[in-house]
Amino acid sequence: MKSFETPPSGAMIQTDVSNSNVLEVRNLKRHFGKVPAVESVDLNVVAGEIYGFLGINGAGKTTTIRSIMGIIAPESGTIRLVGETTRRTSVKQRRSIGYVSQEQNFYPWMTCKALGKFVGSFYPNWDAAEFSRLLEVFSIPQDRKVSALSGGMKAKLALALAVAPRPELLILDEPTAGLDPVARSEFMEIIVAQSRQHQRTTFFSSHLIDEVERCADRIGIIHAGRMRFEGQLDELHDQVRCIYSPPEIVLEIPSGFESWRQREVDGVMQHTFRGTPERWDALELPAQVVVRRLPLEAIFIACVSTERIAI
Amino acid sequence: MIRGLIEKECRQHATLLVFIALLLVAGQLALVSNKFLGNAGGSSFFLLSQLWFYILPLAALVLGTGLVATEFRNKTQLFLEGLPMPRWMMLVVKYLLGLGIVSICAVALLAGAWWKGRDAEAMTVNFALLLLVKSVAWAWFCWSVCFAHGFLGRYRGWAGVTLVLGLLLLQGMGGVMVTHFGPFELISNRFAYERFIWPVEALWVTAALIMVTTLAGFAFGLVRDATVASMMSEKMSMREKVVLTIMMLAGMVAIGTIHERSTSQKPLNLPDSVDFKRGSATVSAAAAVTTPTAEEKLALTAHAMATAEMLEQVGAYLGCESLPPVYIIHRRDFGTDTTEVDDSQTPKRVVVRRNLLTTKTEDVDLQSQILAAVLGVHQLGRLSSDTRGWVLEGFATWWPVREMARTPADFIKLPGHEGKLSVRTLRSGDLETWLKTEERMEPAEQKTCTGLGMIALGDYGDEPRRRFLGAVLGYSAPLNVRATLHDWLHPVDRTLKSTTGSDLPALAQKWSTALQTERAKP
Repeated sequence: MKSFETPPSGAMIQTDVSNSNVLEVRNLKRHFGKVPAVESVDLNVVAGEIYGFLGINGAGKTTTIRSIMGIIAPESGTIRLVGETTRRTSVKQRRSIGYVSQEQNFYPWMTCKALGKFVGSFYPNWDAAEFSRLLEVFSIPQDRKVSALSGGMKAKLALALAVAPRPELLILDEPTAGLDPVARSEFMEIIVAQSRQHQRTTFFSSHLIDEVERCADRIGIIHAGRMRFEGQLDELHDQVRCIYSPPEIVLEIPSGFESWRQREVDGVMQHTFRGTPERWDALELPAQVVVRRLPLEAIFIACVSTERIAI
Repeated sequence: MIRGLIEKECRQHATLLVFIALLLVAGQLALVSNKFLGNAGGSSFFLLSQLWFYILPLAALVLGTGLVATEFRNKTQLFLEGLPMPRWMMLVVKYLLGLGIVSICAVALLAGAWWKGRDAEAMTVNFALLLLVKSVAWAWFCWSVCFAHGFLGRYRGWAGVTLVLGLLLLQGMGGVMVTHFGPFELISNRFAYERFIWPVEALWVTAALIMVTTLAGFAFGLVRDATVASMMSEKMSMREKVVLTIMMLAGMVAIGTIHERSTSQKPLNLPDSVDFKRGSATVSAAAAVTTPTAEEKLALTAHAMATAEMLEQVGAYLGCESLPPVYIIHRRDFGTDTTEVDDSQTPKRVVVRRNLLTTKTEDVDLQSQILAAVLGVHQLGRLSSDTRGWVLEGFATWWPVREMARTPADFIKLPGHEGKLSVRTLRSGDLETWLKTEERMEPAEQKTCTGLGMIALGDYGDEPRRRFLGAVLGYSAPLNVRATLHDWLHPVDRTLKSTTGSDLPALAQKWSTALQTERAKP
């Protein structure tokens, strides 16, 4: 496989290039029977950026993506996609999206070339040459049957199929699920390189924090069908901090902070709060108390582990 | 987009298309061979109407499975859903593709039948249109049913079996003539011969069914973003299999029971009949003439009364709550020994035709025939089996002469039992394979042999013999699986053990001893 030169994360954040949102989702809601899959989702994907959609299993990532794709109809909410606002994504809008689903359910009897021809017949802008080139870049033999491909190769084939129509927005639903660490790393490198080279807006979901941290310009965290955070990674690091205190000290936190997690570890109380950097800077705490920034993994765990308590 | 999808379907289901092509070839071969086999029904379209029952439903079924069910089972519909094409359009393409293939099959076979019979059939425009419309309507109906059926996922097999069994049951029960209903009417026996009259009602019914099944198919494929069809395509759990099996059996039992209760108690109307009701027996007698003579009226009354009394005694002896009604029809034109016995299981009844003027009321042979027929119908023909045959035949032979033949020696002196017996030794295996054992004997010998068996059974005592015969012959078999279950739970050898305390080998030994008595014949 040919190597890619991956620019550093955030080096080409599209907010600098264009302020227009390629995708805007407002108040998206979808239940399956009595089970709420998505309660309230609002998100914005800016043109040219790589957006990481983070959430644990069952958080509502796939339902949100399938709603954006128009595969399932949301109960309420609006989706603004490539300049058009609709309740349910139209076929015309879908033609401007490249989609890689969680599982690659291709026809096993088809060769890669035949699969490309079949998928191409659905897209007016299909670039057969680009598809062939991508297969070559990904070292996937065109005449090999899909059934003979490994999981990693199938994921790459799915990416080639999604990219070949030259979409304005590339949506990937946990594309690396089921891949081994090497294949996963390689695959994410390809995605980042593709997006940077072609200034392509990319929206990908994952429950793997390192993957999101490494690739995404901005992230959204979803939990129990609701958005918990949306913004740049630096913002998240700046806003969420942990206060370590002895148990005998009762903390008096001023208003404007949001409690994400409280627990006692080895006789030390750990309070994870979210607040603006200004508020953190203005916070006056006793001498025995220590405030630390957290790695993304700890922030994510704090975000999804307890209900928020506004103080 | 649509072309791509059609090409994909054709390539994916090439094997199915080859299979359908082979079906067509087989159909054409059947039409060709029909000409050499004497042209069944006098028309090449007659055989075609028979082929319609098999070829088109089979073709539609494999297509429905391939185009719809396979897509959901392999989850490749998830891949299709990710492509920029509305779900309804995918279904429409699949539906029209399947309809096109099934229609082509219908038209090809129809054209073949016409070509084979072009010299013999006078083809008019109306007749040709009739044949074409009926064939295509039947093909469309088959396809729309199979299209909807394809969405049922793991329930397809059960639904198919239930549908076919339900139709067969309805037809078999005789209450509902399925073959004279809607789409089935289109390809009935009139298909080949009706040249003028359009089956308007049947066409409307067929159109309505097509619409309903088509809408059902699209509803399965579209409602709740096809999640219903996706869920149904998941594999069936063991618990679900067990529940469905029990439900299906219970449903069949319920249908049989309801039908049994709703069946008329008087299945045949004999005008000017003489009717007798004695205990569990009902006997009607009538003459097959407009005005019977006084002597004939007297004979009718005597025979009806005698038969009713005999059956009443049999019913009481065996413990039957009810016995099938018997209809005796006097036929002046019959010879002295001519008897016609016509038995029916749905509804249960026995019709006996005989010249009663030349028959005595105590005629042993006639009584024996009536008994065998009544008890046979009573158990829906289950007594004519390998393991139970000897009980029915023996009882029917022995009952009318039971007072005169208490011992084997008395029995073999009776008229009709004078002949030599070729079988002198019986083993339990011979009783368990009675139909084969009988093949070794002449009809007259069979009666003597089975009659001696009943007398041998009497060695255990009159009451044990009655209990055994009552347990085997007295059970009123319902028209459902309960009867099979009963037979399975009550095999003859176990019944013999529980009622007489003996077993089949011991009985066979006693029976053989009785057969040896035959040596002492004068």
